[in-house]
Amino acid sequence: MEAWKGFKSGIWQEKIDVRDFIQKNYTPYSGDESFLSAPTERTNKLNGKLNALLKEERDKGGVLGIDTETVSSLLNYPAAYIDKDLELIVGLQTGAPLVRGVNPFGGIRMARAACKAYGYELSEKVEDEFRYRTTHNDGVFRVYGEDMRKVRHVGIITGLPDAYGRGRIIGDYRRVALYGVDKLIEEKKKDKEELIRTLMTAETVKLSEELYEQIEFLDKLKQMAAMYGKDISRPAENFEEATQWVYFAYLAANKEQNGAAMSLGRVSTFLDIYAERDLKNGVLTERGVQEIVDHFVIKLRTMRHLRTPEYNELFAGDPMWITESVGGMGEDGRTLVTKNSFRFLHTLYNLGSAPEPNLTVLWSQSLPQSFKKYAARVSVETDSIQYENDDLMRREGGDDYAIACCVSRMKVGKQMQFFGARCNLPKTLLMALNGGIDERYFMQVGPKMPVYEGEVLEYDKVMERFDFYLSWLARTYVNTMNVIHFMHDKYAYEKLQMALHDTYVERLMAFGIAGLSVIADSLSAIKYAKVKPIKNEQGIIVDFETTGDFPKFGNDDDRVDSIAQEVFKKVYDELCKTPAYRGAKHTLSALTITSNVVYGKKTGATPDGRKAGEPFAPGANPMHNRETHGALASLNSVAKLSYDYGKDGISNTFSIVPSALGKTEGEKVNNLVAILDGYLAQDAHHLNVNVLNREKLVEAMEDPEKYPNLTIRVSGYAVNFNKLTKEQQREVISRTFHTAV
Amino acid sequence: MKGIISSFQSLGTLDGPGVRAVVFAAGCPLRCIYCHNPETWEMKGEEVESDELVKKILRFKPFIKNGGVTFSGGEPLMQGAFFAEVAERLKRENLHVALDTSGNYFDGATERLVRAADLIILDIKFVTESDYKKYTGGSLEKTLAFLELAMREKKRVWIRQVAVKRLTDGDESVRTLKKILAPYRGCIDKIEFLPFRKICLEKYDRMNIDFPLKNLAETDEITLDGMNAVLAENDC
Repeated sequence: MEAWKGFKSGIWQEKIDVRDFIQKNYTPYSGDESFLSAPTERTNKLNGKLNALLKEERDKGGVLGIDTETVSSLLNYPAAYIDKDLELIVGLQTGAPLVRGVNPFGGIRMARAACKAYGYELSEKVEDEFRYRTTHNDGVFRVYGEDMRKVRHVGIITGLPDAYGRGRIIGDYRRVALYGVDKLIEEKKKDKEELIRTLMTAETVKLSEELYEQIEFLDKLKQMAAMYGKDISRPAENFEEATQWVYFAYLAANKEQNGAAMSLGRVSTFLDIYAERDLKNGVLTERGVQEIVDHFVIKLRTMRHLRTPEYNELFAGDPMWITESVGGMGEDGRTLVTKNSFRFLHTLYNLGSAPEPNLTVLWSQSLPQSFKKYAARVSVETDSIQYENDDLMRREGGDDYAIACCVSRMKVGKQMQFFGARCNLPKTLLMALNGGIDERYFMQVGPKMPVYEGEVLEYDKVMERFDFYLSWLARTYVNTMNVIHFMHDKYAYEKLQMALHDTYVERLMAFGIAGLSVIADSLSAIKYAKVKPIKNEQGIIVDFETTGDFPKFGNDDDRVDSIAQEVFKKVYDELCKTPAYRGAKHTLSALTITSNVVYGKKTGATPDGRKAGEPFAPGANPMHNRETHGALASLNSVAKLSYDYGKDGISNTFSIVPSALGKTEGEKVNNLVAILDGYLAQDAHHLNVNVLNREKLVEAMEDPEKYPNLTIRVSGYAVNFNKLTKEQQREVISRTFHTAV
Repeated sequence: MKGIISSFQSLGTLDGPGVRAVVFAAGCPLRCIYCHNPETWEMKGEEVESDELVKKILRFKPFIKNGGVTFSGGEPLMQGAFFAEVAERLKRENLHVALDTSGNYFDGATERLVRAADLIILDIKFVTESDYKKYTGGSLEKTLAFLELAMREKKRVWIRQVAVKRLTDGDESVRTLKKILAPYRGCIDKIEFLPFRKICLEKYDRMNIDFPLKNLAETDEITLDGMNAVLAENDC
């Protein structure tokens, strides 16, 4: 076959096995960045047009336009372009760049509210279409019990994907390039035929119907590409086509679904194989390869979903989480870094720094030194990348996993996850002290028990209550997720993304926690200092008087770090006690995205001295400015949280002022490499790196036009600082910036 | 053996090569007019066993294995035996040890501590005996005697000086410094001018001490560049 000419043969030719293709054909690269090309004239022009559109979008308050007449799907918009003559990679989500589509499958109310928030009205046409149609949201609320509604209402569990797409699913978009759509359809048809010959149970009937839908959407994918004059029924024949095919598949997934956090996966090293072949055959020059990468990334930067203000409050800055995992090592010890790993990072220079795609470096101690240094330099100069521990994740995840959303490891095309929300641990503690009464709504939410009696909080008594309520909450949480994901499968199944998975996929159910450092410090205060509860007139505890000092998370102090470790394990163990829908395995994350602000707002005063309504620290971060032993002590504390209980990810966001990293640029890069090596060598999981001064953020807050493209890393993703709300900007500014000593 | 520590910082990148843990010793024989660590003057702070401190530092080994540990202060020489013991233990762990000092203190333990260190960061505060005495209370002669010792022990040395307006930031001061250092050139790897800063004002306020240079301007980049240019002049 022409498309596979020059590739080394292997099992990948017999069955769908992208990993085998990569392993047989890729070229590891251990050199430095000197081969990289600057942007072409054509790229600069195209990027200029995008930048003008982005400015217009900013000026219009964040949304350039909404197509309220059309329900978003693969074939509902005509072919559209930023500039047909300039762009090498084609395809837009709707009929015009940055114009957002309406996707009511998750819930019509959400779509309606989102239109309204930006001064639009959902058309009668769309309303009509969904009038007699059950959405995911309808389904969920038909089943929700009282407990579920209450935990949701008071915010002890927040961010449940019960009104929009659940996201976090990564289609193996590479399959489309390597095999062409026809081959994928053929394989799915075979799977379906085989399945129908087995015993028909609720599960197999359901899967059969899903396979029918998968095949239907693969066919639509083909038609969508045909609208742009491309025939993707066949495999891609060169680098440009391979990139285009991958993009079409990703684009189609985003036309079908508006899931929170739909990652791109791990495409750069896969695509490098095509680039190498084209370079070898003289089809492309390095300049040409970079140009295609740049144009691909420009397209990724145009992607948008329509969100409500409430959603934005949780996940600030209009993020898409087009997460691309770059680098890592192979199981055979060869690095998976290729020239394309460099090219993807290099787009931050060629196109300017930006939050998307969410570039994630899979860090291994064994990565080529030149790549470590290049990545560190990009961090120092752009604050746009995050790091995750490949040595840790490869142990169980193999060498062809990617990151879903921010920190969740998924074997590409082999695992999917049921994502859902976070439970608020500090609030759980307060509820435990108040015998199931919520400290803000004064409403009985959990099982009833007398309010804590006694002048001073005693650690053992408090823990006994905490364990009881945690157990109740965990059960309610798993049950709620089971309802949500049953309904999502039923009413908003990801047909195309699942078509790009193996038919028999391993499922994970991803739970989360918020406020880990607040609960650790609060329990530490109870254990080591004296905490007096203060009750209101109704006898409900609403505040605390804490006297004496106590160890605080983030100082490498085992007395409190061990509390954080224990609570983390406890939550995981409790969740595992309730079986998850469709045989999914439970996983847990300490990742809040930017919702740490909202979680804080919904939580009363805590024994650690945090006032009612004050933000939590994000993810697994220590609380702001309680770290007194410097940056590395803070990292050591977080590194103690075991990945065994947090396989959905343990997020840490690290901000350091440039001068604290070293004097010269070279020193800064080397020192950042040493910090990353040192942190991740301890089996820590994730680090967001920001190298900037607080003053710069304050300036940007006061005068946004001064730094229109200022990108910073927040919990698990990068964001344009100006797109955060003032409240979130203030929270980011208040965080610890590690300074020179 | 017990020592007294003013503070511990797990990440330092400016006091010695690479990523370093920095231990700030309590107690200092000098009272420099521009001191930015007034909290280290008195022999007051956290009392630690050398074992404990070594253990604490070793928690950071994954980060500092190619950088090291720096003893700063305060004046670590005032607790020479303690820091020598800690340094010797760290050496056994293959960690690089830097001693950040003014060289204005000498006792029976000084040689042992110098011997245990890999790098001496020596602060030459002023270039004339009279200025030195007037603005620090100490003596330039002692500093130079210490430098002599470091050279004899074949240590690598970084020289530092804070550039203070009108006191040390003039061309003449830089030239004098070069002249003073000429006999020791063989052991000196670099000479660094640090800008005078007033971020310590907050500390002084908190401690209720008057900062004598509160009205003096901070050192600007141009001055530092000028000083470095004079330093680079090929005149000796």
